[in-house]
Amino acid sequence: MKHGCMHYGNGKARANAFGLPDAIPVHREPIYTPRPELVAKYPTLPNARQFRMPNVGFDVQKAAVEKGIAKEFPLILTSGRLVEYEGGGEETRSNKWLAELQQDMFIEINPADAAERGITDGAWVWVYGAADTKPRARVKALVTERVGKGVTWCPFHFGGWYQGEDLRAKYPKGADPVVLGESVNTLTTYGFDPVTGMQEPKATLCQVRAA
Amino acid sequence: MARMKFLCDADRCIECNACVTACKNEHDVPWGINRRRVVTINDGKPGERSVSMACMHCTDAPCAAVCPVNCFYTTADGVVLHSKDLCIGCGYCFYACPFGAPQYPSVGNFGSRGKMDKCTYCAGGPETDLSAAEYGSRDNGQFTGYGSNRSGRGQAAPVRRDVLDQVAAGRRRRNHRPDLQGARRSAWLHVGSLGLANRLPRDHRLLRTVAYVQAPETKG
Repeated sequence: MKHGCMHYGNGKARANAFGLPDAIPVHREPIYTPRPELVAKYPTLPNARQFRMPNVGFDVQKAAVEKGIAKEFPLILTSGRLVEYEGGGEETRSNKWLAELQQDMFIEINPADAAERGITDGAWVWVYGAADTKPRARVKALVTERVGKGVTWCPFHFGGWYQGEDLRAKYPKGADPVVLGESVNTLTTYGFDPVTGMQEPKATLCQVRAA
Repeated sequence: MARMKFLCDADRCIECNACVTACKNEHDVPWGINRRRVVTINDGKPGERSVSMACMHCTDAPCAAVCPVNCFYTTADGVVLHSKDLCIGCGYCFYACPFGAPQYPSVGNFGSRGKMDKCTYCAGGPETDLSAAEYGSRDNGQFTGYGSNRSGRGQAAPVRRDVLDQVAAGRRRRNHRPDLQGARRSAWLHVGSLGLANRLPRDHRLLRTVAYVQAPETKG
């Protein structure tokens, strides 16, 4: 209370949490981090067995640093929601009123990053993911200052394309949504919450090139 | 005389496009025609603002001034409407309009783009209210009518007598916005709203149907 905190309010984040790996939250660098020099000081949790599955985040983070992933993939890729769509978007992309408002999968990129890569607003680009499988996705560029330099953003509501290939023909007849696009999770990378096992589809690294 | 206007509070608009969807759904407007859309300026920068735009139903409408077939007319409520029977799809109004209101069912030059379509302030067209002819057909990618006629059904908020009386008495309502006052010191006031907005609590309505009434003290 001396510090303006209440144990049941804003002080919760500073209180001792029983049963969690970090009793009091500490900083840990992401597995695919844009600041590899910080990993030695702030590593992710050691490998562990979670439920029936191994969580090898520590090894993946170490390998990413050793391979210089942050140099090869200098942009932070984050994913999020659009107001028009819900979840994976299969239902809302099948609604023509909503689909008309967002017709293409896109990546928001800062004007400075776009200029370095010769990318113009609305142009097709290839986004390369940092995973070992070398995934890539063909999306449209939205050059905007909504994102800072070094950061990109994609909506996660699209699906139906895979690495540049339109898979509309594979939908059962009449079941294909009005608009299709690359899924951002083609690009997202390894990482699991140490307690819940929730995967990490929200932030990773990527590289963008004009298509 | 009162004039009907839509106003959007750009300080509160979050570009959710619900007004666009409600308008398209209500009037069953085909893909590619947007009678209403949300425009964002200073996107991603400090001072970003979004505003919902449709036909502004101008007093001296530029679309009517350039129309070679005189298909535009203004109703007694100050709503600018047009006749799709007369429209030849020349596209002049599209170039004349400063708000991008005129829309066309197809892309092409001159007559090949089809009959112009725009916001009717939910008042339909010159045909009989609520008739099939007014509603129109959507065959072959064309849109020959005006969609549903909410005004004809009494659902669009007309200027209410009591509201006009309040203006005449110079009373200020809680929603009165001094910053929206025009150069002529006219009074803007909130008399209701349309579509989805109608089902929201009053304070959450962003897009308002307003009557534009010249304040009595500035007359003459």
